[in-house]
Amino acid sequence: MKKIYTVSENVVARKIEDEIVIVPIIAGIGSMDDDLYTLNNTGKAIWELIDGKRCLFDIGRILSDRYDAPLAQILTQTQELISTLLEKGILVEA
Amino acid sequence: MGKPLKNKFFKTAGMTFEVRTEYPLTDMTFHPRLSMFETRDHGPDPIVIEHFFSIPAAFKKLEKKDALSSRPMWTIFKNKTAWVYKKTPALPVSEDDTAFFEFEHDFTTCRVYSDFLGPEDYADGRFTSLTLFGCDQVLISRLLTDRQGLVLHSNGFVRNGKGSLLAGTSGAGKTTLTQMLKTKNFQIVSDDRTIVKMEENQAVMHGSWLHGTTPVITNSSYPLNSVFFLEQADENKIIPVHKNNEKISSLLQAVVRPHITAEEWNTLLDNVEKLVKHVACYRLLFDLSGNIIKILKEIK
Repeated sequence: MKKIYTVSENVVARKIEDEIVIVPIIAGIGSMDDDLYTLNNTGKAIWELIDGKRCLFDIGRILSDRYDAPLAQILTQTQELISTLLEKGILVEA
Repeated sequence: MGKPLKNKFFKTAGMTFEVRTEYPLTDMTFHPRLSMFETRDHGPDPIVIEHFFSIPAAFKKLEKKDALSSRPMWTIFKNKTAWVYKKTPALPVSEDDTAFFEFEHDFTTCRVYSDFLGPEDYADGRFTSLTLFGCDQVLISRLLTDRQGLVLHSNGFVRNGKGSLLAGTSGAGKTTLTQMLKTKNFQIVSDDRTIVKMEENQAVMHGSWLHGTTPVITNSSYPLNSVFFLEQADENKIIPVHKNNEKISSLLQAVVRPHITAEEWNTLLDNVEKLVKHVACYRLLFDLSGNIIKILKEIK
């Protein structure tokens, strides 16, 4: 819960309307196999708080206050998303 | 064999590519289908491609561990002044089949190095690519990034006097639908790769010598007004895509993207964002009956 994460240098993220579109910077030739990743709603809210300074618990607490939702539930969602993003190489430990 | 030349010029999408070479060029060095892009001299945006027939010693010493990226066939390095791409064919006859491409950082100069072609091979090579060994789409894609353009995996055709694109990855049905369009006398502009560029506040599609497996090559250009994202289905339907983020995600899936740096990616995303403001996007669901053509004709 105290770990801090930041966005990998190997991706570029762009806010487009109500979504975050994340593209991997993978050097290739006409690469079509690099998956794009899109975040909306909760995912977008979590993403916008990942700044290389806040730990997972800080992020959870901010969102819990903002949405008046149980901290445990928010922390679970945050943890799940961060795990996925770590696995995809989109986030790294700061 | 034609008269040897020192250089040749080819033009597409407002860029002029000058090919310079150590060996004599003939009319058969490049495939005759490239002749429609030939021009007499430099245009306003000159790009130089130089062919050399020996490999610099420094390139031979490059090691995979120092590469920025390594994929099947391609290993990419960066030095102070240039990008170096090493291409080893999927099924090399020998290590000698390796070629190197050295791009200056702004991609306006590309040097191609190989040491397995003799002057006679070159004179009658009928190469389909100005970089000889299939690196043109990398060069053109990266040049276009700085010129408000991109290359899309798409087939271009003309509909009501304007350009339209059938976009999708391999297997999406571009070739099938293009065949249907051909039988209904639609003009086809490009096969599997189309250059799209913002020019004077409008999107323009350009045919080029880049192509897929069923080469349709034209040097035509048309204002682009629509992109259709293909989905093979059991019905025929065209559904407008209204949300910009959906348009952008779909376009990004179809963009040829050999981009390496965050800066290039950000510029590419800027280009895609500009493009979606100027073209209508649709999901196109079709079956093999051919009935989609009638619906396609009715779309404004």
